Amino acid sequence: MKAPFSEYLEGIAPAVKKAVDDLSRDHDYVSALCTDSKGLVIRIGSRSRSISNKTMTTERGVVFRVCKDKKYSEYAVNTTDWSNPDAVIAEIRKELELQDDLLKTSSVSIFETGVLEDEPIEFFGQKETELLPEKTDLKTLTEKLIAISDKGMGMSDKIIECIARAQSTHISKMFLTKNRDLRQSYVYSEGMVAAVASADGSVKEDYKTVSGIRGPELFDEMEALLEPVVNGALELLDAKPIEPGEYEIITSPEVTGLIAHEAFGHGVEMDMFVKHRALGADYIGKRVASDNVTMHEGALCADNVTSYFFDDEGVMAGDVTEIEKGILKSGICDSLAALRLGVKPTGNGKRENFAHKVYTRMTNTMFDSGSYTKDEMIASVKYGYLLEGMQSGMEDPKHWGIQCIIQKGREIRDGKLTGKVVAPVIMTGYVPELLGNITMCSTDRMVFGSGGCGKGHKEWVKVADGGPYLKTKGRLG
Amino acid sequence: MKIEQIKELLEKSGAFAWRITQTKTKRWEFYFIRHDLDQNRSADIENYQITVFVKSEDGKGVGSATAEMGPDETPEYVELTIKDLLFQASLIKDSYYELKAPAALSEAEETDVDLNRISANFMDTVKKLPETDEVFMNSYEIFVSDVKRRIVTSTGIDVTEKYPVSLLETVVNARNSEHEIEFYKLYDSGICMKNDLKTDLEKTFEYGPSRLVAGKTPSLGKADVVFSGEDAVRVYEYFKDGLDCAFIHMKYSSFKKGEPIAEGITGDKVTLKTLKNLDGSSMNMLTDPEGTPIEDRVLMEDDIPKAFHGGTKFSYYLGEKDTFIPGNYEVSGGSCDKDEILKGPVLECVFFSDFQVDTMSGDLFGEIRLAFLHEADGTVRPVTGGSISGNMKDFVRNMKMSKERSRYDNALIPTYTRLADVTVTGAE
Repeated sequence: MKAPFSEYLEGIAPAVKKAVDDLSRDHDYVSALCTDSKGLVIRIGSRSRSISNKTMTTERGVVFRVCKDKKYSEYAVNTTDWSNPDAVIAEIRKELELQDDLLKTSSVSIFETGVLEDEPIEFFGQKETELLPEKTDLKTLTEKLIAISDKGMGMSDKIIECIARAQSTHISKMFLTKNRDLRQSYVYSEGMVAAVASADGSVKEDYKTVSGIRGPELFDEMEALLEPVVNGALELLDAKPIEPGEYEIITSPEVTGLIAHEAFGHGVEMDMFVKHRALGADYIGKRVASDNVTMHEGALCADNVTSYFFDDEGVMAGDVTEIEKGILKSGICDSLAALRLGVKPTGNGKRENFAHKVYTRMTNTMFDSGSYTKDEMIASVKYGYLLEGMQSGMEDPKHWGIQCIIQKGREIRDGKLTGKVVAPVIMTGYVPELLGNITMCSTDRMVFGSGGCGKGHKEWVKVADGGPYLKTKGRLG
Repeated sequence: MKIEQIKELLEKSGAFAWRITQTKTKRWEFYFIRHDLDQNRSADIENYQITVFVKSEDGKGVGSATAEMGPDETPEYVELTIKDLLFQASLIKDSYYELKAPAALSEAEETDVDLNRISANFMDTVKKLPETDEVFMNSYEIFVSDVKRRIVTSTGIDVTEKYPVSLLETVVNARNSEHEIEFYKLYDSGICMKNDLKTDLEKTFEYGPSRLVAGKTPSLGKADVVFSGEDAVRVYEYFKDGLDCAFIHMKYSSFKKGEPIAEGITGDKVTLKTLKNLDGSSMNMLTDPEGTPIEDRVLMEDDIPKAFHGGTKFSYYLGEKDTFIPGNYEVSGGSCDKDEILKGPVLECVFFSDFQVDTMSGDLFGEIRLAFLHEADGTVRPVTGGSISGNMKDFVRNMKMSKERSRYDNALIPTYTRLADVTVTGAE
């Protein structure tokens, strides 16, 4: 079935449109993003269980964006009685006037910006799903998750906790301006199995995930995660610290995705170009990686948790070729940054929710596949590590430094896995060096969408990333 | 929909217990590129969180389910949601526990949160920083919220508090003819603490020239490392989380009351105390998120746990009925002067890309953006790149802490913390 569009948003559309039209009389640009997204999270552990309707992206509210005299302002609200749009309009005007008074008193100058395009577009898109989070059979799903957790607990005395978490969100968004009316609805879901192992005072955790732009039917894939997760946690108990140094490395698709995200995800968010915070601005058209590297970013370049029809500024989704055979071709851009830079927006304007500001944000950030098998790649390594599982990452777009915290490394000697595992592993380095040393990419590729991404250390949004196995050199500690 | 109507529906629902949390937030935001306004925003948000608890038929278990909703839902929708929550809570079962009864509470003060004045103070403080062509503000974002929270439970808790929450994000750049670098920092606080903010940002400005000329971090193998600022807060969270009833019940922490947290401790020992109030904190509340009064209480004294903290469920399981979820805490100062703690050889890390301590495993790691390598002969040179790693379970045995203390939002901790034998992977 097609994911149904919110009846609530249908209901408030005329009143919001009235507010947009009214504000348009004395503003150069007015838009309203209206959201109504419902969700479900079930978390089952052996000692603690919970059910909630709140996921990272559940929300209901409206944010108005206005431009007057080259200044952009926003007002976000969920306390409105939409039967009286005049009161909302009055409140918006009052709030923004109060802020204007402060800005005048503080002698604040404005970063002057032109007027956003408002060419007429009408769009209504619904993605397919088998089930909806708000109507799924909770009894059966809960029993399934309890069975996974119980089975995990029974697999070893050293497993002290096994958690199965299923979450699904039904998104409905409506974007209105004087000339645009865009509406979309879709469902995305994420499943996670985690195991915590303990022995001799050491406590280690491993986890695996599934995600997709699908309904709760996705959770059927979770049981297959259990055995590798439990084995992974037990393996970590015996893992040794790595001898720091530079090694030949093969990154699993999950680690590949983390590198994509940190290196040329954040590194080419073009709102950072406006602030002169990204080195990437000076490298368009220049080599930043080896010939083996091609990277794409966009809601259209993979089907996962953030594969929407249009972004939070009413720009249709795109598929940007960021790097082509090692040459940096383009960054990604929200509408205001695009206007300031004189380029076209790429459909990457996203908000944490309606109450937060738009920034340039990632959607699906992917390395393209290559022509080798994973086995061929391992066989080519004299001494190095196969890196698996990601914990977190951080980038320095101004200096192209990168930090990746990785679950574990499997030792490779003379082209074979030795069975020795090191953990945890921190990989650091200089992005062009890391990507410049990529000599092999595998034929397959995977997408991972269970994580969240911050702008700096805040403004959390859903993103997905991935790619094939990559062979390169990395500094590990 | 008003909270009284929700309460009435819950009372009629047959739930074993319930909790409603109503949060109203009025927020002003100002975004700057250099000192030009990028955009200004205002948000007016209200949310209700309803949690319903259901006792299992055999009386040995309790399940809970939570729903969040906006203020514009109809009574019919709320009634239906409560019915759904009762069903959902019946599907899962934790060991039996009970919500806490109301405890004596001093009268909540109605804090007057002046969004205009607090915002102006942030703007004024940042504008007056000693910028030069070499070191300057690249951009900053100001967030000031007036939050009103009311918690009502089936056991009779009904507490309303109003408080300010602020956040300043700063990006300080430094440049010379060869390159340009940036330092990113977030400052959480209640109101704008002008002097603290000015002092810390001026220190960041001073680091700029050092970062521009920093050499590559050498491979030091095992070395002593000094932490300060928010990074040091991450170190002390290992102790705080280890005292959490949830961590203990889940067996993630092996801390036991009355027993040292490790054997053979030779360094400075940690004394950790929760605080009801901490000047400048964004967490100066009378009660925790479950409506339990917060107190000043020693949780750990000289590395020996004295009391645990935590929410209702896990505290009940441990028989720790007199607990709460702390907001503010302090760690007492150690034995060292600043000179002593920075005596070489030691690597003083002042900026990481993203320093992290996994409080469950104890693993810590971070890529070095800027550190000062203090040699044994007293020479000091700035270095960058490479990373540090290790495990808190090893480090607690030989920590050194400064006598001097500093506050970072809700944590008052030793200004400098020195850990021994940290693995330093160089960038050379």
